[in-house]
Amino acid sequence: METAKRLLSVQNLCVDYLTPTGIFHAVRNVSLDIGQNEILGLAGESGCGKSTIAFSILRMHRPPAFISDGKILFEGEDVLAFSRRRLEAWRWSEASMVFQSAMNSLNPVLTVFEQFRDMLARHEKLGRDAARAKAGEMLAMVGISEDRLDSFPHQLSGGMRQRVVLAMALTLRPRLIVMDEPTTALDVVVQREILQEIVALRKTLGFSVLFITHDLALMAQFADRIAIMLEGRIVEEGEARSLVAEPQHEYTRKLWAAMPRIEGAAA
Amino acid sequence: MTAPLLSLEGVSKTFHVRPVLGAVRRVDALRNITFAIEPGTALALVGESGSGKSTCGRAVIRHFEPSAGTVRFRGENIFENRTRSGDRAYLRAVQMVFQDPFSSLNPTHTIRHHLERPLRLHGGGANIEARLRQTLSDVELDPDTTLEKFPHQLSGGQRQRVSFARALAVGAELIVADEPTSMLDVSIRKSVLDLMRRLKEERNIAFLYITHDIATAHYIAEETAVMYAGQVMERGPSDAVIRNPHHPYSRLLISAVPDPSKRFDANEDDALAFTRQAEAVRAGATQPIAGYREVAPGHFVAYAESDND
Ligand SMILES: Nc1ncnc2c1ncn2[C@@H]1O[C@H](COP(=O)(O)OP(=O)(O)OP(=O)(O)O)[C@@H](O)[C@H]1O
Ligand SMILES: Nc1ncnc2c1ncn2[C@@H]1O[C@H](COP(=O)(O)OP(=O)(O)OP(=O)(O)O)[C@@H](O)[C@H]1O
Ligand SMILES: [Mg+2]
Ligand SMILES: [Mg+2]
Repeated sequence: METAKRLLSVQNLCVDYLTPTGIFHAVRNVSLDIGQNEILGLAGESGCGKSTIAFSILRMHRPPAFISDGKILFEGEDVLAFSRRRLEAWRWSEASMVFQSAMNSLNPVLTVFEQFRDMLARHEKLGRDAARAKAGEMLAMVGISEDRLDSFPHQLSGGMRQRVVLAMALTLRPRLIVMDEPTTALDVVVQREILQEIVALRKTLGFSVLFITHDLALMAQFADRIAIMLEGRIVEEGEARSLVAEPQHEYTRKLWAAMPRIEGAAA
Repeated sequence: MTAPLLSLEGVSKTFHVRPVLGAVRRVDALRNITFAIEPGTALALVGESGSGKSTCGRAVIRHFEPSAGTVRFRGENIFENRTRSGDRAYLRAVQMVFQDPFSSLNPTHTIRHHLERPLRLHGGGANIEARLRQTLSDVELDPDTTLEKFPHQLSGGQRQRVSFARALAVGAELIVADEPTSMLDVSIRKSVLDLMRRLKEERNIAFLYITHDIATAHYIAEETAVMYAGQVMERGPSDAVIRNPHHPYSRLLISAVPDPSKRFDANEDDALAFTRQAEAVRAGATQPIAGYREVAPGHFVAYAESDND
C-alpha cells in the first residue's frame, strides 16, 4: 500500500503484562497497516492479544500492560508521543472504540441521552436540543427508537446496549473505529443491517475500521483484508477473498475448518 | 402424563419506564409465552435483539414475577406457596449462566472459593476436597492449576466453565444459559457446547439456551423457539424450525446467518433488498398473535388475526 493512503500504521508493536510471576509478552512484534476507508479484520484464538492491540492503538492500555517497543502512526503522526490534551481531543473525534464488553461499558447511572450529551458536550459544544436531535438520529441508525433516549442501560436488552455503544462510536465521525467484537449480542438480522449500513456510510463519510471478531464467516463478509493472530504474533495477512479461499498458514486452515455450520445444511 | 420439568403458560411481562420528564412508557417485553422443557433436553430461544429472551430467563430464575401467566417447575407454580426451604431448593435446582464471563465471577475470590460454598450448601462439608476436584474435572478444568487462581487469571472460556462448575456444584437440574458462548473462539465454544451436551446426557440436566448463534442451537437443542417483539413466532424440533422455517420472521432470521461467500459490499441492491424485506417482515410480525398452526407434529407457527388463511 502507498504510504499516502495509509491511515494507521502499527510498527513492530510489543506489549507486555507485568505479572507476579514475571513479564508476559502478550503482543510480540506486530506490524499492521490500515488504509483509508479500509476494513481490516483481526481474528485468532482467545487470549492471543487482539484486545491488547486494540487498547494500545488508542493508548487506553492500563497497567499492568505497557508498550515496550514499536510505533503507532496515525496519518504519519506518532500516537505514542501525543500530549495528554492532544490524546483526549483525538480520541472519539478522530479515533473511537467499541469495547469488547460494550454491553457493560455504559455508565449505569446515566440515561442513554446523558451518555451522548457528555460526549457531545466535550467535543462539539452542542446545546441540549441539538445534542438530543443528534443522539436520536444516531439511535435510529442502529434501529433503536428515539423514545429510548431516556432509558437507563439496565432497561435495555444486551443487544440494545451494544447498539448504543456502536452509535456513540460513530457519532463524531471519526476516521478510525476500533470495534472489538461489536455485534456479539445482536441477532443476525440486525447485525447484518448495521454492518451493511457501516459499509454504506464508509463510502459516503470515509472512515476505516479495525474489526475484531470470533465470527469468521461474518469477517469474510465484512472485512477487506484479514489478519490472523496466534500467540501474540500475526501469522497470516491478506485480501479477505484470498485468505478465505486459499489460506496459507496451517493455523488459518484449522480456524476455517472449525467454523460452526448448521449440520447437514446444504453448503 | 407427568408434568414437564419447566413450563411457561401464557407468560406476559410489562415494564413501565418512567423518565424524569415526560410520560410513562410501557414495554411489553413478553406477550403470552408458552413452552415446556423436559429433563435432559434443551430448548433454544433465538430471535430479535430485545425480543424478550433474557426476560424469559429472568422470569424462570424468579428475578421478577410475570404480569400474567404461570411458570411451573415440576408442575408447581414457582410463585405460589413459597416457603423458605422451597425457595432454597429452587435456588439450587435452577441455575443461571450469564453471557459475560468477565462480570459473573467475583474478582476478589479464588476459584476454590467460588465452588466451595455451593458445595458445602449442597452436600455438607464431607470430602470437600475430593468433590471440589471432581467438579472441576467434570468441566474439564485441571484442578491442580485452577483451584487457587483468581478469575482474571483465566481465559474467557475457562471462566465460562467455572460458571458451569458452580451450577453443577449445587446440583442444578435446569440451567438457564444466556448466550454462554458468544465471546468464545470457535474451539472453546465447541468445548463448552460439548460440555452442555454431556451434562444433558449423563446428568439429565435440562437447558434453556438463549443464543444468537443458530448453528449452535441446532447442535445442542432438541427444540427451538423463535421470538420477535415479545412473542414466539415459531417453535418445534430444532431441525424443522431451522431447516424448514415457516414464519416470515424465522425465514428472515435464518436467511441472515452469516455466509462467508456473500460479501456485504458485493451488491448495493442486495443490501437494500435485504433491508426492505426486513422492514416488511418486522411490520407484519408486530401484531398480536391469534393462534398457532401445527404444520408438522410439534412444529407450531404463529398466525395473526389479519392473516386470512
Ligand atoms: N491484566 C492482565 N494481567 C496479566 N495478563 C493479562 C492481563 N490482561 C490480559 N492478559 C493476558 O494477555 C493475553 C492477551 O489478552 P487479550 O485480552 O488481548 O486477548 P484476546 O485476543 O482479546 O482474547 P479474547 O478473544 O478472549 O478476547 C492473554 O493471554 C491474557 O491472559
Ligand atoms: N428492567 C427493565 N425495565 C424496562 N424495560 C426493560 C427492563 N428489562 C428489559 N426491558 C425491555 O424488555 C425488552 C426485552 O428485553 P430482553 O433483555 O429480554 O431482550 P433480549 O431478547 O434478551 O435481547 P438481546 O438479544 O439484545 O439480549 C426490551 O425492550 C428491554 O428494553
Ligand atoms: Mg479480547
Ligand atoms: Mg438478552
